[in-house]
Amino acid sequence: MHIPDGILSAPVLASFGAASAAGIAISARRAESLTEARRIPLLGVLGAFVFAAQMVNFPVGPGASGHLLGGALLAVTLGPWAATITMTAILLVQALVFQDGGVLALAANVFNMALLGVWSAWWAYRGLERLGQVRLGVFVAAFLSVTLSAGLALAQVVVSGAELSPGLVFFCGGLFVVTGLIEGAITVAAWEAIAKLEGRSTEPKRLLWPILAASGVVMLVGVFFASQSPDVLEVFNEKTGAASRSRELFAGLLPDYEWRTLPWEWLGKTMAGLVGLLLLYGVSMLLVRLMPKQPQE
Amino acid sequence: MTDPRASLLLLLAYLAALASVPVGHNVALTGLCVLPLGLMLYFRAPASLFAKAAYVLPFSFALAAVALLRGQTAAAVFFLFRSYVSILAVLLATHLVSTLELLRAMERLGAPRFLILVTEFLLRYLDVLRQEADAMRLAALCRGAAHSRLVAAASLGMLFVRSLERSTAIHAAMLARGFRGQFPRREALRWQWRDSLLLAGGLVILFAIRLSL
Repeated sequence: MHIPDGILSAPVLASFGAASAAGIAISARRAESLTEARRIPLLGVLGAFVFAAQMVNFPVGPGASGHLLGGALLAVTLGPWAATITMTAILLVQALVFQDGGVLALAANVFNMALLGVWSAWWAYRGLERLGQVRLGVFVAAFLSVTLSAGLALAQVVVSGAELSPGLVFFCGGLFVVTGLIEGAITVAAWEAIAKLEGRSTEPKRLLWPILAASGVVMLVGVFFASQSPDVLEVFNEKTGAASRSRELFAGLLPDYEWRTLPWEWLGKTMAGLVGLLLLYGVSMLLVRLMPKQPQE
Repeated sequence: MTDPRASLLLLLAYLAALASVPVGHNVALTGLCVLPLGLMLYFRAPASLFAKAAYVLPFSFALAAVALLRGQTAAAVFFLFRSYVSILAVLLATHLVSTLELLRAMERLGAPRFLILVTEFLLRYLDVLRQEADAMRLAALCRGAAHSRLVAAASLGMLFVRSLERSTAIHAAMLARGFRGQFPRREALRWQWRDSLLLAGGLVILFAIRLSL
């Protein structure tokens, strides 16, 4: 999501640079008027917390782990103005010290993550908080903050001249949604742990089914779209002939990626894709189990 | 000693010139590439910058791979080369000018002071919080904690609460050292004639390369 220098075109940089500069100037003025001087170190330390929190690996499913990205957590705990400034400070340090994202590309990165990411999270959180759904609010805030900023970053890259096939754009969209779901789960867990340590009570757990249902819908839609448009993997297949070989190999198991007993063609493709994904996941898990474990330091 | 504002403005102008080179204009791109290479030689910057610039390129590698698979070899090489040179220029600038100096230059050039203050506090406590996270990870290993969601969530929560405590302690320390609610204004940077000369010369060279090639 951190776009490096040399990718975006001059018009994209200029337009998002102007929008970011205005947004940050307003946010800094509002944050300064709302933040007492004694809280300024807090913003810096929470910015450093986001860096440190990225060292904590969070298991999100068998064999998979992720880490906190932090935009929504900052918005929920600091409010949108201060969170925008803290997020911008994080992006500045990432660009200048770690070369994670470009210096000129800060124009776009700040807009995507510090403005769109923080404010979309804040509005989602506030809206659901007013309906009494605080936990769901935190989850949706984190999900939107990641998916919207990543989606806009991808759009900026495409507008700048990178030619991506529709299939690849859908694939990236799927990845963003998965990352958003992981960020949502981690943010809710961190938010609950903070509430527990601060002695605040949290709502009972009612999120599992909505999250599972959302994941299922996203997966079905993603697999359906992936089955409709040609993508880079298909180009790769055409060039290397891997498709025909793998088709021959798996012909007995998933003939032509269709489950012939199902009535609708698209549902057949979707279900076959889903089974294929689960199969791949199982094989990966088996490989991880079979690999020798590295000794702990 | 060069004013950091001149260095920052030159870096931004260079990156903007690179960004304005359209795909396929390889002569202009090559012309612009010569500048950071010449400066690296002049300032005897370590050759490790070349490796570091390549190390931080996964995003560009992905884009280049997509273009390659679509048969657009020239576009792939162009994207990769342009982003590599951009990162090399940033690495050279941060090698020659410290991050704090660059932040000071940004403030003097109009970046909000509040943002710069927050960034300075972030930089100051970056390693402190990372060491804290490392110590917590070591402690978890020592007590044989499982790699579970519960442990990770508790670690994040604890790290957050410790960050809050740390910021309270920082404020107490600031008060003990005479902080009265206002951050002091810093000494102004000194812009000298040679900075004007450097900036004007740099911009002329950039424009000349960009417009002539």
